[in-house]
Amino acid sequence: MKKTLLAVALASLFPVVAFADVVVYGKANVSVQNADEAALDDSRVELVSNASRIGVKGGEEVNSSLKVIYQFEYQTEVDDGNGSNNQTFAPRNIYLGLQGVAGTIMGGHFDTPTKVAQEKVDLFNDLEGDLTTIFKGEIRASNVVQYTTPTFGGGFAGSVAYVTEENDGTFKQNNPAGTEPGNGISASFGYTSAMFYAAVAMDQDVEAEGVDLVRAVARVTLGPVQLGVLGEQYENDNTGVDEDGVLASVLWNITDKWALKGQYGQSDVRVTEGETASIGLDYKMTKAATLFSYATKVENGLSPMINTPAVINPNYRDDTYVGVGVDFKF
Amino acid sequence: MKPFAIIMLLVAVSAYADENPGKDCVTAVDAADSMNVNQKDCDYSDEGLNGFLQKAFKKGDDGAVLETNTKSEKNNTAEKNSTTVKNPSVLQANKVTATNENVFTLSVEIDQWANLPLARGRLLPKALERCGEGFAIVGEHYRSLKLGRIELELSFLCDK
Repeated sequence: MKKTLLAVALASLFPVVAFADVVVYGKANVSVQNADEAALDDSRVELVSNASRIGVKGGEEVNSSLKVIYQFEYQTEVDDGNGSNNQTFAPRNIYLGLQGVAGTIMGGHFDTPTKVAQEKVDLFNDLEGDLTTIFKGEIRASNVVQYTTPTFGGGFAGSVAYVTEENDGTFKQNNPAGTEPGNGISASFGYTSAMFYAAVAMDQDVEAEGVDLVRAVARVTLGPVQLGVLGEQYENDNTGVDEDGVLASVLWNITDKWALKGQYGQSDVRVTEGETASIGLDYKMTKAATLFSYATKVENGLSPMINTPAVINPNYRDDTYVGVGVDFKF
Repeated sequence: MKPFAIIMLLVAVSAYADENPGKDCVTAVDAADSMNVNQKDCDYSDEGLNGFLQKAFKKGDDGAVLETNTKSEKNNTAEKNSTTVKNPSVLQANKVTATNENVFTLSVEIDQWANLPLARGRLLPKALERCGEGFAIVGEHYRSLKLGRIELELSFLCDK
């Protein structure tokens, strides 16, 4: 009875006739963790929602060689219901596009090709060990027009995204004071297969004018073991910063239920002497539900104390996180 | 030279691995997360929330009718030696069964007889795509399914 009521309720949200070509999907990822953070000079237990989301995607054939495609995905916080700016549903990847034999062109608010290029190398994505703690280039940009080639040569494909100068909420608001926003380009080219993946990607003026970034990623899967590596170089002409970093990860599928994973990264890109190390153990309860655990250490080379009289530097990190959670894909 | 040779070897091995069918379909949320617009269309009509909604609204304009039976209770002929491809608009499922290179069947489920011409019309270009040059329809079969749905199965013989 309850299922029927849910069905009727959902029917009011989505047109019935649309279901034939629509995929409704989502996931809830929640963990309880002990966070020992240097900036707080304390440890605490917290419940965190790790990029839980719901979305719809689909397409409609215009003719045998052209298709309209779309995706609308929103993040929701399972722990407290409120995301950034008190939004219950915050936009994630949203686009409308046309796909034909010559490739796909799409516009919207979505991950740049450089962000997408990380593929499955970051094994602690959306958790405290996410590579974004020490790297840059993880940008979900607004007002983007992107072209993606069809797959050719057995797995090669490339993408070029044009991030317009429109600045109503884009990253272009990060421009240095006194400079006008400009257009940015993000591009990637790579080879993908089940066993091997390699890609190079670059951002030019995407984060802000005068900020460029190059990223190289590779993944090899050999039987039950997956090895990944990511390198990044970052240049900011406005500040003269020229830094780089590297991250390596390993996943071992011990059985079809158990997986052990580890990851280590060292980078000066986001903050000087940034370092992150994580280990985790996953247990796949069903095809859709995974019980996971992790321990993560995040450090940087900033001074623990600032000012006179000395106070704790809020950007200093010597943090340890230990958590357990459930990931449910529905 | 050595790293280049290793990379080429890995590419060759992975290209071979890619030929393994059925391994390409990840969950819908992972597929969306990858932002890979070139990935193969997968059928999620029987999985998760999407599967629930697909079942719940099969009757279309007649209103919400919830089907609670499991996959194993479904018509087993639809599952035997079949590969589900994608969901065109009016079709509930579109299955391909090949007995040899030149003879194969395409089947589709429709929710009412009025949709039959459209569903049938969509099978024909798929058959031509598979055969390349031309084909003959060598068999046509209709089967009654649950909730008033109908399965149409066409058998094709490719021109040599």
